[in-house]
Parts: sequence; C-alpha cells; structure tokens
Amino acid sequence: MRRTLIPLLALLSLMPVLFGGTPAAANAYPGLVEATYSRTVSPSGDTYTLKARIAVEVTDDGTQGRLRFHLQCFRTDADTGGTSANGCDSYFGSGDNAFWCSGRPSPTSCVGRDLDDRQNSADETWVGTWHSLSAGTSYKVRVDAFRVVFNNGNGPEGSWHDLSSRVHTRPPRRPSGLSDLENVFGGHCNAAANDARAFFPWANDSSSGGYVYFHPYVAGVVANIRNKNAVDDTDGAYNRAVWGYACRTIAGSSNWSTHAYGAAIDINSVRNPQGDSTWDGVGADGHNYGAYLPSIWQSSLIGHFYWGINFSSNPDPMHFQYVTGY
Amino acid sequence: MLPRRIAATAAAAVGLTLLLAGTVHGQPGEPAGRPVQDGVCAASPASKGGHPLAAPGQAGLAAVDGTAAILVGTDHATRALPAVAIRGVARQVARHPSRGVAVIDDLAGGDRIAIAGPAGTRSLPGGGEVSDLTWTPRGELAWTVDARSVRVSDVDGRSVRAIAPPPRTLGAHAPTFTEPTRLVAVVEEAPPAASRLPAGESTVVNNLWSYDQAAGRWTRLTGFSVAGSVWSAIRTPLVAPGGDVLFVRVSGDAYATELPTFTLWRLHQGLARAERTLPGDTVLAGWLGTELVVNRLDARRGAWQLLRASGAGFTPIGCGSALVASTAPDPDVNAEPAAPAAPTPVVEEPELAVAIGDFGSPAAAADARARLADPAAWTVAGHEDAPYAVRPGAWILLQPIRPEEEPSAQLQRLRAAHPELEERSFVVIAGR
Repeated sequence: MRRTLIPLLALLSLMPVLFGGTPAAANAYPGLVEATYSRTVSPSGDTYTLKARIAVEVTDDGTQGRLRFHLQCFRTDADTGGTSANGCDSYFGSGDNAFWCSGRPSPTSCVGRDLDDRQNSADETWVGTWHSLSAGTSYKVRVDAFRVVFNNGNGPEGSWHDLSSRVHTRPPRRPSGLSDLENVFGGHCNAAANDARAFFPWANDSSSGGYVYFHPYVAGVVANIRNKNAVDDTDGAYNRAVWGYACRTIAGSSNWSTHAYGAAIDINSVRNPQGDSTWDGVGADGHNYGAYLPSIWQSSLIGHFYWGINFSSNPDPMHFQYVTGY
Repeated sequence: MLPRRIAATAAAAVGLTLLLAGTVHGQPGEPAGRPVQDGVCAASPASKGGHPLAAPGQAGLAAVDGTAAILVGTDHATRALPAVAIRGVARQVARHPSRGVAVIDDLAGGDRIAIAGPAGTRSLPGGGEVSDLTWTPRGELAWTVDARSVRVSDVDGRSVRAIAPPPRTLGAHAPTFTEPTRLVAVVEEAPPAASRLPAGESTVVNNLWSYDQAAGRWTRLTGFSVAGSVWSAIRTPLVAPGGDVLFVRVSGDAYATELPTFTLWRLHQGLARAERTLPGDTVLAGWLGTELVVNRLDARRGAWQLLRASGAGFTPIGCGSALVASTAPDPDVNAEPAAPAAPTPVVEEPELAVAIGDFGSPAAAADARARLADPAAWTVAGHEDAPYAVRPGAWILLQPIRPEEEPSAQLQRLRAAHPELEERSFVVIAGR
C-alpha cells in the first residue's frame, strides 16, 4: 500500500557534506541534493522522517566520479518531542533504478543499475562504480523509485520517491607550459581568443560596467563564477578594474601574456596591482569581502584558475590564468 | 563599436625600406650537432647533451636549447658549452671570449647567475627575477632585475651597480653596451593620456634610451608613441658592427585578434628608421661574424629557432634562444599551494548560449532575428533577462547551446551561415 508522505524538499548548499559511512577524506560531493519526507501518524501522533541525499562523489583530483546515495530514518516522539534514529527497511523499484548520466554539455546519456534492498537499518549508503571524468563533460546521478518502511519493516510505509543530483561539469583541462597553452587555446591573439564575453561591473575600469572578453574554452568556468556572484548577490565585491583578452607581450619580455590567449582575467586591478603580495578585498561598495573573489576564481570544483598571487618572484594578485608553468 | 577586430590578412608594415619574403629555406649539408629538420625545433631536444664540446675561445653564438647551453659556430655547427652548475632552469646564457660563460639560473623566487670561466665557477645573486644577461666591453656582467632596472657587476660580485630607470618611467631592461660606460636600454614608459591600455604586466609603449654611467644621465633616443588600444614594444636591442643599434619593434592593437607586426629597426647616428618587416615572433639573436642571426618562436612547439638573416630571407641554422628567455616552464609559476576552501563552491551546469548583439532596442533585435535563417531558435533578451550576457540599455539575440554541442562549434555554425555576424556574435553566460 502506498501512502503519500509530506515532501519537504530542501536543496542544500553545495558544501562538501559528508554522507553516512566513511568516504575518502578528500572526496567532494558536487551536485549534492537533499530531500526530507515526513508524516505524522495517528493515533500516536509520532512523526516519521526519511532523509535522502544524492550526489556525484568525486575524488580529490577530480578524475573519477560515482553515484553516492544515502538514506536515514528518524522517529519523533509525540509525547517527548525527542527525535531518534529509527530502523527501517529500504526498497527500490524493480530493474534499473540508479543511473549515472553523462554528456557534453548536458548529461543525457545514462547507464543504470539495480540497488539492493536492505533491512533493519537507520542509516544506509549505496555507492556506484567509479567512472573516469572527462574535462568539459557534465555528470548527474539519480535514483528512481525508492521507499522505506519504518520500524524495521513493521510500518508505517513510506511513498515511492525519485531523487536527482544537480549537474557536475568537470572543468576543462588546464594546460601546462607554452606549447600546451598554444595547443589548447590556439595561438596567441587567435580569432577565438575573444569569442566569449561576460558583463562585469567595473569592466575595463568603467564604473558603469562593460564586457570582459575571453576564450570560450573557459566560458563554463567564468559562468560558474558569475552564477556564484548572483547567488550571493555580491557584484559589489568587484572594484576597478576587470580585464580579459588583450593581445600583448609581457613587459620586458618576449613572452606573450596569457591574456593574449583569452586564458586570463584580472579583477580589482587598481587595489591589487602586480607586486602586491596580499589581496585587498574591498569592493566597489566599500565593504571588505575578504578573499571572496579569489576563492571563487580558484575553487578546484569550478575550474581552478591559477592565482597570480602565487608567482614566487613577482606576485600578481589581480591576475587569474587557466594555465600553469607559464 | 565592439572592441574586437579580426583581420583576414596580415597587416601591411608601414614605412619599410625593404620587404623580405620571410620564407624559410632548408639548409643543405647540415653540420654536426643537433639537426634542424625542416626548420623544426622542439622544447625538449632529443639530442640533449649529445653535442661535441666547444673549444675555448671558439667563435660562435651562445644560446639555450631546451635546458642546455650551446654554441652555434660560424660554421653553423652546434656544440655544447662547458657545464655550469644550475639548480633551477637555465633561462639564458651569455658568453665572453675570455671571461667564460654566464647562465641565468631561474629559481622559484630570486634568481642567480652562475658563471664558469678561467678562474673557476662562481655565482652571483641576481637580486630578483633576472633577464637580459650580457657581457659589457669591459668584461663585466649586466642584467635586468624584475624587468625594471639594470645592474652591472664585475664577475666576482664585489662591485654591483644598480641603474634605476629614467625618472617618471616604469622600468628599463635589455641593456646593450655601445661603449664601455654607455649603454642603450629599452625603457617602459608610462601610458600616455591617449592610451586606453593599463600598465601592469604588459607593455604599453617602449622607447630606447641611452645611459651614460659616468654622468649618471639618461637620454631618450626614439620617439615611439601610442594611442587608443595600440601598443608598441621594443625587443632585443643589439649593437651592430660599426656601432649602430638594431632592434625589433613589435606593435599591435591589444583588442584585435591579429598578430602584431614585427619590424627590424636601425638606430644610426641618433636617427631610427625601419629596415625590414620580420615574420611574426621574430627577434634578434646576435652576430655570427658579419651574419645577423635572429630568433623565431615556434610557440606551438614551445621552442626557439635560430635563423641566419640575409637579403634572400631566413635560413635555419640551429635551435635555442640567445637574447631572449628560453621557454622551459617557469619555476615561479609552478609553485601553487592548495587553494583555500571556497565559502560555498558553486557547481552548476553552466548556462551558456550564443548571442548576437548588441542592439539599441528590442525592436531592432527582433528585426535582426527576422533576417536569420532560423528565427524561431532565437529570443530577444535584455540585461534584466541575461545580466551577464548584455549590458544595461542594450539587447541581444540568444540561442541556448544545444545538447551535445560545444559552444565554439555552435558559434562557428552561426558564423558560417551568417558571415556578416563574425564580429557581432559571442558565447555568453545566459543564466541569471
């Protein structure tokens, strides 16, 4: 018998939250989604809750990924108000019910497997097999048709649910050294080097904003950064001046700047000039955002820009480039 | 107007007295040493360390090939220079007929200069990031620190003189000595008011200046200027037999997607004039007797090629970089600590789209859409709809990136169908 529980779906922030069990310490869980389903039964008035989490589990080097699915059962006593773990039986629909999906740019190609039913446990985790992750490819996992029966299978019975993770896109490969940079981005000053653009506040030193140009190869990375700004409503963290593509050589050198490939962006340049060894996070609105901007520019999950503040001889805190060794 | 310009053809040089074909000819009867097959050099030479040792005092041009210091002789044969103890990366080499060989030892952090000569081996602290190492006529060493200032030192390091750049300029580099106590250097000048380019890591405008060490005075020798988004750099000044100074001027538009022009100039009795258009990424390397040798960057292979310049063109004679830095990975960029955890890492499916624009009104955008081959696939969007794709007060046409298609591929398909949109189409961030 199927009964409808009250779905209390909560999309969590995407912090690397640990699931049950003991995953590898440095693994990350991009695309994490949590859903909570509860109902109160009569005549006891007790509330039974199922908490489900699903994510793409990614190794710390970002090269391998797998499905990770976690269920927890709880009972809240109507008399005492106390909540405790509640042993439950977990069931999945027949046939393939767990899916690993991939594709570029959308994860539309899926492979399935049948997760095993388990009994008498308040906390269970299922994992899939490891898959190699390709740069620029998107991944998503989902579980169709799962439910639990609380009190170690003696009831009440939960409804059937489906749950999908958000999409994780493995960042494009970051080249290393001059020849790799040339081969990944094309030659310096090539026609594609400014084929992508984004509107930035304080772009090109304009307080009314403007376009910053870059190579489409890093468009997804920049898109995530701008999305992050939107989520946090932190465009005020930008300050003079934001720069992108520029066909120029490095001062005092015959080397081409990484900007000549559309592979670099400078942000808050006036407050963070070349030669400074620290980051000044004061934004255009006067608020000090600390390392907010550098953090999102260099997060490994969204593309891992190399931050120029790490140049050991001449730090360049304004500078973020998608190449190392050059 | 969009700040992008894509050139279909190479830009014509201005004010040139001689145009070279720029062709590369094969070199018959290649001498012993590293072969230059079809003028191809590689970042990691297969013949590393396999060259015969150069004789003391043997005439030739010193260079760094991969990680090895080599000598290309007047017979164009490549020989190995005496080993110099290097802890990091051999970035550049300078050779003196009697003082020995000096090598920039590029380290993470401040560099050092390693010297091997008749008096044995020693090293000097570079004082920062070292480049442009050269010997003076008096047998001293000169180099650039952090692309900003020049230092001159005896080989023992007992007497090190720092030469600050001219007042109100950003730096001086690439010294070359026209007399024992007079040098010519490239000066990084502050961007003029007419420039829209920021100073910083990249050149805006360079000029040649001379410096009289006895008087401690700088004198400006050339008068290159820039405006808008055009920049002008000077690279590899080199004293020619007879005392003239040759140099390469590199100039381009920072916001254009076309290679800048490379031009050979001669400074003769205080007057600079353009001599030749050079192929892209070509700078001066030095002299082999009376033969001018140039360096050409093969960026795809991450290697420098040495070529003999003549009126007929350029002939490959070897591999390696002479006056410029080698392309070996920079140890200053390899040291990358673990990124601190972002407060809330974002992992979203990027919402990318192809955009056409900008338009001054929604109606103008709609009119443009009607002229497209597939108008139904496009939507009109303003800043409120796509805040990262279009500025306030402008409108664009948006087409989401199709599943299973690369953003660049979809952009190129649009441009193939509508060449007139070459400079008005982009990959953009469509989400809010």
